[in-house]
Amino acid sequence: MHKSHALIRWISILFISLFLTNCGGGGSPGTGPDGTATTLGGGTPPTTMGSDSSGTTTGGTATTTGGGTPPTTTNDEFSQSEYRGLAFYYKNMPSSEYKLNQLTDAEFNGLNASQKLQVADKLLSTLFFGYPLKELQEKIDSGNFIESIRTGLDEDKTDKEWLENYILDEDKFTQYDRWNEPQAITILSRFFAMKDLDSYFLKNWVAYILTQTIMFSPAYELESTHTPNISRVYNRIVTMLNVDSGMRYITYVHMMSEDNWRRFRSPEDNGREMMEIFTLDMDDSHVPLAGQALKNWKLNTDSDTLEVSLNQNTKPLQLFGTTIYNGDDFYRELAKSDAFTKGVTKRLVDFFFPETSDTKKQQITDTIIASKPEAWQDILLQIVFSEEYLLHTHRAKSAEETFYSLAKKIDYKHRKSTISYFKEGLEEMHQATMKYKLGKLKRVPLDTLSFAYYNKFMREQVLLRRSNPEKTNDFDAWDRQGWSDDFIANDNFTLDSNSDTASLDTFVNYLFKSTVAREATSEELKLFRDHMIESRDGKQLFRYEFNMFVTYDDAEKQAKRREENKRNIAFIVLDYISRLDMTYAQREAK
Amino acid sequence: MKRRDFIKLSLAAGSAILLPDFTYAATLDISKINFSQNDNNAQTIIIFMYGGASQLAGNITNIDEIKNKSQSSYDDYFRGITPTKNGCWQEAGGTAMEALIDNGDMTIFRCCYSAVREAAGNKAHGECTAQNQKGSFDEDSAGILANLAQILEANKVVDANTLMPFVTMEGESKFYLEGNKPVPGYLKPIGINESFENPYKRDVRRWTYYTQAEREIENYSENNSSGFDPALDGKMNTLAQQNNLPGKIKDAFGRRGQLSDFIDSIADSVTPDLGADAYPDNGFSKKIEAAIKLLVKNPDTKVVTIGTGGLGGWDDHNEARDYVTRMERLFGSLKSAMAHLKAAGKEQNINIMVFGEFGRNVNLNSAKGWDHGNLQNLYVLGGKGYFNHKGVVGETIVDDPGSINRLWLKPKSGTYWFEPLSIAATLYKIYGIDNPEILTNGNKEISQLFI
Repeated sequence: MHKSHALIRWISILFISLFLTNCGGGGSPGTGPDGTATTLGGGTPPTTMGSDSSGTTTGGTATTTGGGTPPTTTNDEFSQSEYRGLAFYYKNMPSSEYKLNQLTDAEFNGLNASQKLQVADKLLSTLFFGYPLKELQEKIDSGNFIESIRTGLDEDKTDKEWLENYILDEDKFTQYDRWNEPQAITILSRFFAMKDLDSYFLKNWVAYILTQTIMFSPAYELESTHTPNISRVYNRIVTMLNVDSGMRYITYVHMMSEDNWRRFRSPEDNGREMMEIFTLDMDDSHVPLAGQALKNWKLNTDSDTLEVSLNQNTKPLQLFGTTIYNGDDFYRELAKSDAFTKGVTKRLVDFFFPETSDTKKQQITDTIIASKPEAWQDILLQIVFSEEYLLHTHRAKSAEETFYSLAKKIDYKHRKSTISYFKEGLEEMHQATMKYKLGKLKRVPLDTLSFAYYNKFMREQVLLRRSNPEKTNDFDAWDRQGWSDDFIANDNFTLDSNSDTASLDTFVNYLFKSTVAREATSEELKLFRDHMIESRDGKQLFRYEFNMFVTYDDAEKQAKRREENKRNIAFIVLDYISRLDMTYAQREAK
Repeated sequence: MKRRDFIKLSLAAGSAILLPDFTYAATLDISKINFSQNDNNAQTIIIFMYGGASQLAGNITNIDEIKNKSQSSYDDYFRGITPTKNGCWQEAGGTAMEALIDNGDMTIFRCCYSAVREAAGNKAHGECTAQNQKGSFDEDSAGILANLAQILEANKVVDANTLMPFVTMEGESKFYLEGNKPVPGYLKPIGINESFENPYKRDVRRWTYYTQAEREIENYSENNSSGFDPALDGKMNTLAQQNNLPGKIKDAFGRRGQLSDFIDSIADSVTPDLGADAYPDNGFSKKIEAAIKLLVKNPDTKVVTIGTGGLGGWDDHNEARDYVTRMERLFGSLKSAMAHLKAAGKEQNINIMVFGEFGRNVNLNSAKGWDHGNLQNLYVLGGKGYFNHKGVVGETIVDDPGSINRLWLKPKSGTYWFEPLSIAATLYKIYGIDNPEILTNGNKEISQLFI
């Protein structure tokens, strides 16, 4: 078992190496200035199996201890693989080792029913997921909701072959050649199609979050980038996560890549930005040093190709508390530095706590750093499952959080162009995925125009569209897109044919709980009653067009008309819900 | 800037704590603002060049020395670097610049330079953008236009009935960043785009939304002026807003209907025939054309902020030939914009300010681009009722510290220069604030514009 695991990982690393064919390398191609070990030509560092990982000087290039020590409790040679003190692999930290307080099932179960639903919805939507109300309620009622979601993220359930075939099927999703950044559409389609909130989903989610930030944005808005950079950056992260690559190693590989150089395109630019982005070092006096280390790296104007020549720097340079010479040293030592952990943690805390005070954010950052994270999940899951995030944080939902969670909750069916429309919608909302050079500095812009597009998309493309069941197999049909009739099937709520009012109330509450995780207020119920119920024959009865109990001699006609009338109610209630801020917000539960 | 101010600013970068009387209180204190009502009917278009544009288009007076010291050859790379009579780069918008200068429509300030950033070693996009858009070096200060909005409101220049006093065509930016004093919703910017698309419009004319009585009115649900929105729509809006928490989403919902009507009202505006000065066909032209249409149509709007989307960004670390093309297009559009202002009779009132977070160094690097610098040009157009245009102001020298890729332009000794925060002070000044320096870390308005 041990050997087969190791074999799989070796194969995986070879696969990753293929991703790195455009990596700069730039380390000492051959013999370094100090006569040290060499790197592989394509930029993939050698795996110095079982070598010194104690932070001692390696061949004249001092290493800091910031790179952490890879797990030593196993004899697995991969777990001990490193390159000049940069460890490659880390298992995700057990949540018991997190320092940021995590929401436990005991605490979750102690919340009232409304809070539980809200917190569950917040957790799931943060992960771009959701469940139909009945299924979610069962999970909540199980008593181990939090742990079940957490452990589910460790399991691999996804049939990846089916998944990839499905999202690349041109009969189901429009496949563009070059226009409209098809790689981004494929990534967005994958989230829509993934059925399980499992380990594969998590790795995609981690990669997605990272590529939205300033750290890993492929930046397709730039003329020097090309659309394949989108998939290269994203897929590389997913692939490296698949083999338990640590966050330092993933970042090191990314920084060395042509993808990164197409974003930051000169030695000074790239050096400056890597220090700013990953270590928060804004000191302009460090930039010439970085520029000197990277002096033989350049983005050749011929097809924006990264070119690393052999005239590398040979003078010792002091950066990151150590001595560096060349580009490989620069990127490696940056990734190993303590400042790296601080920098990337701060970036992610800012991303998830945009409305939190600077003081509080610094506390959260410091607490996470104290847990010594070495994998991206160590930071991201520590945030997402924390008490602070789930109970005390309020922020705008990203459109992905809103769309994907709603889609799962309302059994939303897509047509061929649904996801490409979503991608265009994200651009209009100024939430474009992987587009911006500096990532989403503001994850959810709420200026009037951006929000108007956000609201318009969710209202018109999601909430007010019903999927025509007759078009189930017609992905070209405009009316295939929308929520399915299963979403409002009668077994989801309790109708009482003796009370139209009670039946309306229960249906309205179902729609509210399904979509915004709360019941309707008495004022809201009254609003809908006033419009849909009338006094007739001394009773409070449905108006004609909303009558879910209408009777006809023809049973088929009766059933059809009842469903139509129920949909008439649903459209109005969902329209109202589209006007609520909570549809677009992750709310504070306490 | 006076020498004393410069010394204080330089010190402030590293030792603000030693100068408690100098440091800026982040909370806007309206009582300290000296405000004078004026009748200049000023309106402003701010064009922010995100990425930090090179100053060379408007200043190649030092080009010979630059060529000698540059890592890569300017002559081999660029397809012409021809100086105009005022030392602008002819191929990079210089011809249009000269026309604007000749007509007394524009001033190029060549020495917008930050001594404070030089001392602090700061050439980061994020920080410099924030500082220039807040008009302050303080981290917790508000944006220029958030401050301006509150000051104008306190002095009864704008109020809840003012129609869209601030408009953004670039999404959210630090210009509108709220400080410790909350900005009322009606003073916050509204967003539009150059096509006057109207995502604010909401179709609510499904027959089931109407009551029986409403349905008895002829053409009730027609999607034109014959029809009308059902009462239910208004009731849903009102109740939803009662439940929505205070914040940007609630503000956005609250202004949606008014914005929809506003956009519909300006969408039909027509640009006068500009003859030979017709707008060039590019995305940026459409933006500035839309901005001018809006200002002409709605005198209530004080400031429109736009980026240079449609042209591209200005972070020209490589392939600087693109910069040349971009500047040519930018100034082609600005020349048309000036003609548009004149045709609309608004050149006295409406001004255009063009700047970014910083300029660039002048070493043409190995990727044939320029890295971050610290001196930029400020281009000021129009506003001729209150600005005295002087053509070109400021002289530069080449600074070569001798290390890799460190080749800069700096203000020549004795020449007129100012910190970027003076742009904010100038904006404040034209809207009636007599002591803008209390908002801008002691930096005064650009005096050369007013004498």
